[in-house]
Amino acid sequence: MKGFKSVIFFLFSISGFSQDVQTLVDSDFSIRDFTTHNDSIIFLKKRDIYFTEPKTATQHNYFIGGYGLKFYLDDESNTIISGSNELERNVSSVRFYDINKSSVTNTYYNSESRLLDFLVVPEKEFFVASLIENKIIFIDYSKKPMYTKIIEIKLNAFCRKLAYTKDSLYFVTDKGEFFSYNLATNEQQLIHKDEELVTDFLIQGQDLIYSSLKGVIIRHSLITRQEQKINLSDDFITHLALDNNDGLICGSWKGNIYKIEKHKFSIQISMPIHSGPVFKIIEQEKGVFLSSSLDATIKKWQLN
Amino acid sequence: MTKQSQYYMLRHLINEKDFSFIALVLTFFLLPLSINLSSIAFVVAVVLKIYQSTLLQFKLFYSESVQQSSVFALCFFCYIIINSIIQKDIQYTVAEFDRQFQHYALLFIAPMLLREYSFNKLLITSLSCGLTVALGYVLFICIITNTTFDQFAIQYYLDLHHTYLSLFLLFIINQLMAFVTEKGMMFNRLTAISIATFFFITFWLLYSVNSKASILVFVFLVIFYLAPKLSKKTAVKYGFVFLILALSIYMFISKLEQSYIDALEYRIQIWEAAVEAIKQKPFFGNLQDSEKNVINFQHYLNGKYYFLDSNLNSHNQYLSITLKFGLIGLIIFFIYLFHCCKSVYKKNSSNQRAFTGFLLIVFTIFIIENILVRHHGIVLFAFGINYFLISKNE
Repeated sequence: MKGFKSVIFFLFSISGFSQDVQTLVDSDFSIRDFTTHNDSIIFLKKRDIYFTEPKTATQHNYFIGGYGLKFYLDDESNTIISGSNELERNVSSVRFYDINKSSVTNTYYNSESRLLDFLVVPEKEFFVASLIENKIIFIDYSKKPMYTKIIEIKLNAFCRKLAYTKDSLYFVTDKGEFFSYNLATNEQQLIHKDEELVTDFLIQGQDLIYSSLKGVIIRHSLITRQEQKINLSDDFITHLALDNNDGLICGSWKGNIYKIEKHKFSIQISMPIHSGPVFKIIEQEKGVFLSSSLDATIKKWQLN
Repeated sequence: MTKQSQYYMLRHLINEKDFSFIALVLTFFLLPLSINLSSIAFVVAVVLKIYQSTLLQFKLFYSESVQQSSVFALCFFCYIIINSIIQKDIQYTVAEFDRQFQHYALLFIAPMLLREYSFNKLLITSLSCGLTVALGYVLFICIITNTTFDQFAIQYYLDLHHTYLSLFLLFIINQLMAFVTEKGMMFNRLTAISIATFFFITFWLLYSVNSKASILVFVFLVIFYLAPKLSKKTAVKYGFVFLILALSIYMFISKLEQSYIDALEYRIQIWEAAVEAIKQKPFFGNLQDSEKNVINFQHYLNGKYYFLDSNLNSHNQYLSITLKFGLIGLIIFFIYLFHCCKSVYKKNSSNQRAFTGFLLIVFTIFIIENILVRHHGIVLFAFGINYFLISKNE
């Protein structure tokens, strides 16, 4: 691609070769989101989504409008749904890319706001966007190119993180207020309040697990209200993930990976993997993880 | 300066066995061509200077004003190091020295490497030659590969950002303008045509690489040098020059109007983040993390993840110094600059006009870029500012 210097290194492990940390993708721009699909890696870099085929050592990419924030791979319709923000203008877009046709078939534009977080509920054909104007909108895309705003939630602060489980949307504001929004009843409920700015959270059974800007990881029981805390010195968590055993894996601002012991809720393993904030972690196979970062890499590492 | 005199200077250096200065001349030749080779040549120049001044009794400083400049710069450097040790610790300061601090050492090393005025001119000639070779090389590759000669080609083949290319061109054009005005525009036809061609090529290059700020600086320089010469007699001649320039600027702005607006809007958002970071530690700055990380954190708080992902510095030298070293650091840096200005202006030398032109260039570029954190920028600034401290009669 002209004027676009990008070198991708595929250093997938050779059978019998063992190494603790491998760089799968070494790029020239932050990798905010990625996923694996069959044997390939799909990742989001700047204004494009890249498909890498390690077996054939080929790659191709397509344009997603602005600076990519997140994307979802809908296996059923073989579609990639991506959310992105423009750099200078207060505009965001959500694009639908048909993998079979290799083209963007539909685009939703929001000409008045940028995205802070974005999630897709493919089985119900809507997406949820948290906007920088302190609101959350639900957009029905079942009749695209017609897009219908079905719900709008007004907030009193930024909402950086959305999570969807069992017909409910969970979200947190920068004032530390956690809410659930039930789509069946359209009821919004305050489920927890903390004084700190929350950097990420997830719902695990009856537990709310979240991290704060002050470097605290908290497990809060939504039933008993009991809390367990871990204090990180001089660092904070940017991404929380669960492994296949429901173990907690955390990526930090300084590029460290922490494995949290489930029962004691304490740091079991701490590893410096990246040189910048970790954006995403996924478990590729049992004990083997991939993570992307501001340091423009996707790395593969193991937790024993 | 004629070719013979430049050749004579070089012969003189060889006869005198001043290999440190020869390595410095090579540093400037390689500056637009290769950062690595230029850095190696610079290190060789420093090592040879130490060797020559300690064992061969060469002068460490060729003028009192550069010696004083070196002392002021050393104070600024010491402040940075002590500040870092206090804010973090020695271990962190040593570990980050290469990445965060070492380039500021050039400010006090550069004065030691310079010689007398006539020898120092070799550096500008050398830079001009290096730039000609570098641009000729890119142009040749572009013709062969049938690609466009633009800022991307220069960045790709030379790893030279268009801001630094513009900085080199403006530095040379400033010297040429000073030379032309000093000579009172009295040239033979061939020299006049050569100078006019050089001006035209430089302007075309700045135009080709879409260097928006540099075009403005070019205009400031033309106004700065020609305005005092304006009289009833010269009104038609200079009026014509201004008319062509105004027309070119109009075409350039029409071509890049949106780009100007976007570039400004883009920088304003980064500057806002930098100012917010400065407000948190205004006096001694923030040396607990790198500048990019401090600004990235601010973008993160502001929910501007698209800027966070871009991993940018403050894109403003004044904000960069204040963010890292605080208002105290900025004041010390300005005291250093003030001393340099005082030294040049009190000498009443012919350097004054060119020095003002140089300040016009760097102070304007300081608004849009952190040029002191890049090899190209710090070398040109450190040597540029000290170059004017040595006058013809020293």
